[in-house]
Amino acid sequence: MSTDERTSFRLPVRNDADLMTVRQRVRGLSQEQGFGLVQQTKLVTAASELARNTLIHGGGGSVTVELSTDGDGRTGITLVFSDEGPGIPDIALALRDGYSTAGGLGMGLSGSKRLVDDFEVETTPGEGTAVTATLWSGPPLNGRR
Amino acid sequence: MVDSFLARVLAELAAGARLLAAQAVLVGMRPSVAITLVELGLALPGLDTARTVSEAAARFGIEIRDTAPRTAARGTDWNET
Ligand SMILES: Nc1ncnc2c1ncn2[C@@H]1O[C@H](COP(=O)(O)OP(=O)(O)OP(=O)(O)O)[C@@H](O)[C@H]1O
Ligand SMILES: [Mg+2]
Repeated sequence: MSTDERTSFRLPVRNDADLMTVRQRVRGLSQEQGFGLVQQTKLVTAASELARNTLIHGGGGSVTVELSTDGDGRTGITLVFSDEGPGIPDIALALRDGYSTAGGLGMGLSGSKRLVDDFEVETTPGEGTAVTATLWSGPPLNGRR
Repeated sequence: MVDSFLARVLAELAAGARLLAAQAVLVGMRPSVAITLVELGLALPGLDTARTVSEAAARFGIEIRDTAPRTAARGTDWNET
């Protein structure tokens, strides 16, 4: 897997306007990379959920957007949302459908995980959280999606 | 695109309409959005949906005769975010 340096960028996630920019840039990039409409919508929706978590729960942060390719000629878009907020004490619990500490629906984290191919949460209580989500173009290689 | 935030707004709008003894029907959701919503785990409870305005009207016993195709009401694939 190689990283295309030309299409790697970082965006702030500090307010509502930033959320809109993140959605627009992710939509634009997935279009450019030839993602189908369903794939585009899944990635933009996951980006919107994760960006809002960064803003609301993490107290703001940023997202890094990166392109990569694999040996089968597929293109992957990776989003890394990071913040220096309170962290998540129990990741398994946070990933449960309906679990929310903020009176939300509690579907953002668990739902985003279902929308993408690769999903990872790294968090240290008191230091912050990084959520990495990757969606690959083209048909699924392993029956997912 | 509909995320959990917007889903909640839509549900609140529908609930608001019910307070006025009105019924809200969400029309024109694109298939890609519907697919994504289901996978996200949001069933939009309490929100009635229809593919077209005519279909929604038919539920209230009103017939709308289409003379021209109404693509705008059918959820076209334009590039919103
Ligand atoms: N970046 C983050 N920093 C700290 N805690 C987080 C972060 N992201 C998620 N969490 C925790 O995980 C919980 C579940 O997140 P999830 O997005 O599923 O639900 P929610 O944001 O509370 O509600 P919604 O359904 O509106 O997204 C949150 O309530 C919060 O406690
Ligand atoms: Mg959330």
